[in-house]
Formats: sequence, structure tokens, C-alpha cells
Amino acid sequence: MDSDLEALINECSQSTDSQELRPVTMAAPTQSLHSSQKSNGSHGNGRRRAISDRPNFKLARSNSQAQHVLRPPEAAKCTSDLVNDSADDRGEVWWQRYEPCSVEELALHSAKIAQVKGWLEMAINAAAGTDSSQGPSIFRILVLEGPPGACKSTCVRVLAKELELDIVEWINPLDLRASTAAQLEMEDDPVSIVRQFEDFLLRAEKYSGLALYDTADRHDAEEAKRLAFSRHKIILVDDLPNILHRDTRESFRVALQRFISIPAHCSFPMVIVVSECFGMQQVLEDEAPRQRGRRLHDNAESNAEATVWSASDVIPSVVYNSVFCHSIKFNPVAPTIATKGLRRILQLRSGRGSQKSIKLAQQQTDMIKAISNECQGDFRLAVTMLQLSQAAAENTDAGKKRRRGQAGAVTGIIDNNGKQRAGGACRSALDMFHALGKVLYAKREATKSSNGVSADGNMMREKLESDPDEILDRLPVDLSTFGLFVHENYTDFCSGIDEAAAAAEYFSEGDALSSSGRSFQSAASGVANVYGSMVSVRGYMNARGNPLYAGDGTTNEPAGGRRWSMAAFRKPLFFESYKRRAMFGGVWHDPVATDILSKSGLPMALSSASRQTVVQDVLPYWAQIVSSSQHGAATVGSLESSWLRNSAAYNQLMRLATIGDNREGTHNDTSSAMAGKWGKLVTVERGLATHSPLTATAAAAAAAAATATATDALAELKLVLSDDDIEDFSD
Amino acid sequence: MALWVEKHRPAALDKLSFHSGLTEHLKQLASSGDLPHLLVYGPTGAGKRTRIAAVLREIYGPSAEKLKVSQRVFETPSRRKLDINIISSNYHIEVNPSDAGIYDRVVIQDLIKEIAQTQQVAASSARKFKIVVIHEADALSRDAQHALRRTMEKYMGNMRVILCSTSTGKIIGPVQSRCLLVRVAAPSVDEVVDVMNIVAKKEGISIPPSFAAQIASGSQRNLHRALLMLEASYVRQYPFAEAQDVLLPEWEEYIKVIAAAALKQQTPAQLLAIRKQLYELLTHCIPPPTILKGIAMQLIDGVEEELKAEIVHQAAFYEHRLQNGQKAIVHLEAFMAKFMSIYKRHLMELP
Repeated sequence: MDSDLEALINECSQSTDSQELRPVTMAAPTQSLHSSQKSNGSHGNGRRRAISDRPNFKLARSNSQAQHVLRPPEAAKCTSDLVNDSADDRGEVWWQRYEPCSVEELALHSAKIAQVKGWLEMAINAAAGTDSSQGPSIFRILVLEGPPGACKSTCVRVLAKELELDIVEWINPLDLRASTAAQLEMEDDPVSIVRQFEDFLLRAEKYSGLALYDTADRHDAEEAKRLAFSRHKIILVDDLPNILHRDTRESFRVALQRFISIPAHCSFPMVIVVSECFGMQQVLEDEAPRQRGRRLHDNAESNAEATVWSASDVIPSVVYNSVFCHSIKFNPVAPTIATKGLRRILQLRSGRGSQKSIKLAQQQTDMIKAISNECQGDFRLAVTMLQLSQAAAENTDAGKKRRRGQAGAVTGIIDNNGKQRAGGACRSALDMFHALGKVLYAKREATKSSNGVSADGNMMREKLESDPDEILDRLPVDLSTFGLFVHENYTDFCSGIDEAAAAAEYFSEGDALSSSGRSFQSAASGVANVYGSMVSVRGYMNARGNPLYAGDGTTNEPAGGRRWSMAAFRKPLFFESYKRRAMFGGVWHDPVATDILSKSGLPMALSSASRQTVVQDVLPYWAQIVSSSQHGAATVGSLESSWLRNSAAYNQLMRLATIGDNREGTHNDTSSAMAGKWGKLVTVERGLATHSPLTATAAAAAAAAATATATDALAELKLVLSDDDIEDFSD
Repeated sequence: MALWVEKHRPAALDKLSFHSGLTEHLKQLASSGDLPHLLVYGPTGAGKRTRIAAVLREIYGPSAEKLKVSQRVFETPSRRKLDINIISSNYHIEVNPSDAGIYDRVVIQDLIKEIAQTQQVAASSARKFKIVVIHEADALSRDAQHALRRTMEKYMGNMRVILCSTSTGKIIGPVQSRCLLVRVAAPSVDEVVDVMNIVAKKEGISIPPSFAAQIASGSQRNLHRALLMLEASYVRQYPFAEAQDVLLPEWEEYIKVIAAAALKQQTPAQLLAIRKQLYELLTHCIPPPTILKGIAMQLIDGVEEELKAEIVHQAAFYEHRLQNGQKAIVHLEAFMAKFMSIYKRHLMELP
């Protein structure tokens, strides 16, 4: 595949006139492949060099003939080269070599393909201006999001071929320093990647139908006609610029925004492929489509979601949420579909790719099945695993008929029965839900014998169904975040307070352990962290359901009256609390707040007195005095009518001073006492400062803000998981 | 137009109403023409700041009261910018380095160097030295204190330092030995009542003696708090009733609610509810040790004699954990769970 790429790029760099290429590539496809391979040394190098030689452009000719030449169909190759096949594909990766070239071969659900195809067609129509009557087209950017190996890019390429589109692909320049003289002018520029991206977009648009498709040169009338028909292209961004860098992200946003502002018929549609990383977004996945706004909001604010790497984070929200941008989500490849895809590859390899009905050996079928289940929806991984297991088999008995069990036995990935080995080659991260569920439910293996009583009087308990170490090894998030999740949810699973107390003590111990390392040496912190979380997780799993703590009079019913079959996991309040604390802490540095306090008779309170004193003693009383009607007006009269009353800092101080709902609850019977308090404040304000136009809106806002207290808003964010999921997973 | 606490704060040493012996000493110090470095310590609400301000006034005259607040930017070695609020007059400068967190050393050093390297400008000024007042000196990191120790000696010529802290425990020995230690004890209940009466007289209100005593004891001999309580009670209801409730800060009431909840019911669900309340307290910047202590004290009041020792033991244990740990909520909750477990067992053992 590398050599394919190379040839392809060479083709483009040699001349923009594709006319010349055709005879060459037609005549000796394999020849050209091999020669370019030799001349460039190793594959990786070749690719890199080629890319930097010809910056940023990879012009894939995807009309069927060029494709035919550049990527020899497997059928032809397999029949002729079967004997030295294994020598051939040394160093060649199967998922590239056997890249599908038709829609039927895609390891994707047909509905998904249709969805993408539909979009592309609409976009092309719009670009061609055929239905310009309907006003400006909204089909500008398509975002394909999904986990890695879900065949996103392949889908685009295959569809582009089918719809006879050209693909202009953006590839990040890998190393600017290694670049050749061709790029000298860019070398001094530190953020040139961004500029290059802009240039790329510009060029991609500007040279819409340039010489590449100049049909006047073609003598073949029929060909010309066909090409004229397919002279559309799409811009494919598979390789995103480094959006972690702030400046880069900013210019990326600007470039994209500019792009969507161009009318469709002047330009080409763009397809952006985003691989989601396994992370916290899994937890929120269920909610994501419905409440994307909130999820984005959460992402921006809390630590936990800082690790999320989904399309909505990568693509600037201005663009992502605009009408010009559409998003199609890809799911992990289902085992059945993966099986089909793997089968195709094996069939191709065995040389009879044209005959679909070929039978594979039973052992191979088993292996394929095992791999499909094992690959967790990553088709690329599946193919690689297949290649690994097959390569060994083919080496041992090349040319001979394969013996049963040989392949798996050699590679050690799949054992004789095709069953997955425990702790095999692929152990990707657990789903957040599953990890939480495994820990929280802490299931034990079914009882085989009656509960014995050991010598020291402890009840013998069955082994845990899943090993805590393994759970910790395979977490999708860091240990301390996971600890918070467990801690947030464990009370629902404890049957009695003794059990909860025992668990809580372990959490406390775990936290103390994992923190103490940090204060001494950063090197030790990693170990301490592991110890800490091991103590908390193991401790909890041990405490849960321990007969020692049973019999404290409570029933076995889980707390809160929840059924065990359907547990709602909560998100830790910790992050929210932390954020709000930081927000309140910000008041100290707020000049307006300082001003307010000094105006109302606490000069310099914020800067000289101990903060603890201010928070604990001064502010609570201050709030009461200031907010009271008669005296407050007298004491801080200057404040009443001034704009300070409406400022955010004032609200902040008030909220810092007023906590909970205890006393208010007794005085007025409103369900939300905070709101009641605010209401009171608001009426005072109205009475005293009617001349201020801002008051009404500010008051309304304050009341609205107060109704939702900090903790309640977050408690709503619940995640539902059925017990079945867990059962299913632990099979 | 100010809160009573500030409005009736005595400005001169002569006006101070209690600790007359200390006042005498301070007066002599201030008039002697030279001043050593001072370390003023004592509990909150005992009048440390008032005394420092009064000493400054005694030294420099009334113009030392003309204060202005400014925000200064300091840059750490790692190029982080810190905004620190600084109060200054022509003669002195006040700073609260706890704003700077772990970078307090930079702030202290820069600030003191800056002050020390400029001579007193005003020709009329009585003294040739300036004064740097450092509030919350016990929150200074070790680094900062060591830096202070050197600068205190080096710039003795034209600068004096007044440290203000709640105890000497966290001030390193070398710094302590360079200072004159001034202890400001908390006023007795009677003294608090006296001060309240003075304030009431100035405001033209009258306080029933029993109510005054109630506030004084409720304030835990914290004068600052007592005056705030008085004003808040006045706002709420005047004339005062003999048996009027003393207003506690809301967070203290909230702590009472939490303790009551733990005493009422001991289930995991209740623990969950309590956790939310604890988060609420933490969110409002109440320091975790204060929360733990407050709850423990409330719990002790609510249980039988034989459990009290055990509860104090557990509170101390988890307080230690709090110091070691990072996530306060975990330890607070563990304490609550432990208490509920103990208390429940106790209840079940009762006949």
C-alpha cells in the first residue's frame, strides 16, 4: 500500500497533466510499483519523503481505470502471485493491501453507507449547481465520527470511487525540518502548518477543475464525456492539525469558518474524519445525541472531560453546530460484519477471490469468529490480528495444506478451539460503565458448596467474579477519577451503614495513601496512586456484601429503593464542587467585590483580614445586614441604588454568604428556600431601586439562578445502565 | 456608613478598651523612636489588627490612616503572573501573602526589597523606617519564612516587619527570635459585653444584659463576631427581647443540620444525603477541618456519655487523614459513615 501511495504521489508530482501517466501506469503496473519501491528504500521513508516533496496534496485518481492500475485487483494478483505471496507481503499490512474497492466489500452496515452516500450525492449536486433553485446549499462539511477502525476513511474513499469523485486529501507535513528545498519558504514559520492548511483549502477551492480534468486534451471522446461528468471532487481531512495548540486551533477554526461561508457551488464539499478516543465520553454517550449542548458545556468545564476526544471537541463548536456541518456517527464494527470482512480477505488470499462461495476450513472460521469478537469493533485491529495468526501458519507450512490448530498454536493469539485466551494480545480499555459496574456490583462466583466457616470465624466467601487488578489495569480514565466515580456511587450498593462505613474507611485510606506520595517526590506519586486506588477498590469490593457487616438490622434492599436490575450511576459532584469553590475563590481577586465590601463598610476586608475569618464570620452577617430592608438601606445606602447591587460580584458574594436552606426553610414554606431568599432580596431591590433599569433583569436572572442549587443541577445528570449489560460483558 | 465593626473600631491606642497593660507597652514602644520587628499573635477577633493600626497611627500620626488598595502583579520564576491586593499608606504597606499560595516567597521577597530600597520620601515624616505588615503570617510557607529571615536582617536600616498570626506554632524559630512577640489574648466575656455596650451607646440603642451575655458567649469571645452578631440581631429585631435567639452564621446552622441528620437516621441513603450537604459546605469555602470539628462537636452533644470518647477519637483520626489526603469529601464522609455505624450499633445494643 505504501508503494501504491508513493506511485500515486509520484504521479501527481511528476506533472499535473494526468494524460502522460496513463500509458505508463496502464502498461506496467507492477513494474512501476516495484521500481519506485526500490528507489525509495524503506516504505516509511518513502512515504514521508514523497509527502514532503509534494506538500499537502495527495491527488487520488479514482476513476476506475487509474484505480485499476494503481491498485491491482486482488483477484488478479492472488492467482498469479500465489506462490510468492508470503514473500510479497512481507512488511505489507493487510488492512492496506486488502483495502476494499467496492461498497459491497466494506465492513459496514449498508444503512450507514447509504447515509454517507446520500450526503455526498446531495453535496455534489449542490456543488454542481444543478439544484441552485433551492437557495444556498447547506451541505458543506460532513463529519464522520466514530472509534478507530470503524472504516470511516475507507468508506469515504470507496464511495468517492463509486460516485467518481476525486479526493483531495490533507496530510499533515510530518517534519518541516526534513523537508526539501521545495518548502524552504515555510521553514522559518513556526505555525506554518496552519498556514499550510489554509493554503491547502484555498488551493483546493481555487483550482477546482484545473488541467487535471481538462477534457480538451483527451482525444477519447467517450472518456472525456465520462470525466466531465465526474469532475467533482471532495476535500478529505483525515489528519487534523494539532488542535491542542491554542493558536493552531484558533486558525483552524478561522479556516473552517471561512470555508463554510463559501457558497457550495463555488467550492467542494469537505469530509472530516474524526477518530474518537476511548475516554470519558463513553459515559455520556447515551445522552450525547439528545443533549449535545449540555455535554459540550460539561466538557468545557470539568476536569474529567478534559480527556474526551470526540468530534465536538476537535471541531470548533461554531462550525460543528452550524447548519453547514453534518455529522454521521459510526459505531464499532459489529462482530458479524467483521466476520464477513475477514472472510473476504481469507478468500482473496486463498486465490479464489472471484468465487464468493468458497469454503474456508472449519478452523479458520473459528478463528475469524474469535477475532471478530475480540477486536472490540476495530476492524483494522481485526485484520492485523488475522494477518499475525495467518503469517505464522503460512510460514510453517507454506504451500502445503494447513493443518488444524497450527495457526493459533504458533502465534499464541488464538488457541486450538479458536477461543480467546485470557489476557490475550488485545486487551483494550474497559468501558467506563463496565468498569464501574464490575467494581460496584462486586459479584462473586456462584456458590458451589455451602458457606463454610474458617478457623478464625470469618465466613468463607466465594471468589470475586472479576479481578480488581484487571479492572484497574484496563480503566478508560485515570485512577483518581475512577475512584471518584466509585465513591460517588457506592452508597447505592451498600446494604447497611456498617458496610458503607467500612467501604468509606477504605476510600479515606486510599486517598491518604495516594496523596502522601505526592508531597514528597513526584516519582513516587505513580506508585502511591496505584496503592491508593487498589486499597479503595479492593477494600470496597471486600466490604460489599461481607457477612461481617450484615445483620445490622437493615434489609437487603439497596438504598433509595432502587432495584438492582437498573442502577443509575451518578457523576461525581466533586468536579462541580471544585469548580464552584474556585469560582468563589475568584471573588477575592475581583476588584468589584473589593469595592462592594469596602463601600458597605468592610474596607480592605478582602485583602488584609484572614480569608477564613471573612468567610466564616464576616460574610454571613454582612449578607444579612445588607439584605435587610430598613437597616440595610441606612447602613449601606450608597450601595442600594448603585450599579454594584446588580453586579455579578455582588451576587457571588451573596451566594458565598448564604448556604443551604436550613433557616429559610423554617421561615417560608417554599420548596426552594434559596429561591425564596432571592425573591425577598429582589423585592427589596425593586422597592428601593426602581429607577435602575437593570434591576428587573438582574433580579430575574438571580432568581432563576438561585432556583437551581449547585448540587441538584448535577444530580440530574444520571446515567442508566441495565444489569444485563454487565452480565453480557462478563460472559 | 459602615458596619459597626468598622465604624466603631478604635483608631488610637488611648481608645482601646481592654488589655490596658499591653496598650501601655505598645505606647512606650511607639514613642521610643525605634521599633523592633513585631510578631503579633492571638485568636481571631481579639483585636490584633486594631492594635497594629493604632501603633502605626501612634508612630506616623493620623496620615497613616489614609489607606489605598492597589493590585500588584508579581511574576514567579516560572513566569506565572500573580495578582496580589496590597494596602498601603505613605508609611507602611500591608499584604496578605496567602493569596499567592505556594509562590508567597516571591511576593515577600520582591515586596520587601522594593520597600527597603526606597527611603522614606516625606521629609516631615517622623521616622526613617517604613513598616511592612504581613497578615496571616502562619500561612507563609517555609520557603517564604526563610526568605523573610534574611531580608529582615539585611534591610533593618529602613524597614520593620510586623507579622500578624493566630499562633506562633507555624512560625519558624529564627523568625520568632528576630521579633518582639506580642500576645493579644481573646477578651473575656465581660470585656466583650463592655465593648458591645460602648457600641450600643454610640448607636443609641440599648441591650438587655442577658442578651449581651448571650451574644458574648455565643461569639466564643470573638469580638469581631460579637459585634457582627449584634448588628445582625439588631437588623432582625429591635428592640431586643430578653430571650431572642442569637444568630449563628449560616454555615454553622448547616453543620447542625448535618449532625442532626446523622443522629436521626443511619442508612446509606442518609449518608448520600449528607454527602451532598458536605459538598455544599465545601463549595462555600469552609475549610474541611472546621467542618469536621463543628460536626464532631455537635455529635458529641447529641450522644450518650460512653460514646463521646469514641467519637472524638474518630474525629481526630479523620482529621489526620484530612491533612494527609487530597479529597476532603472522602474523609469527611468516612467520618460520618463511621459515626453512623458506631451510633447505630450503640442504639441496637440498648435494651
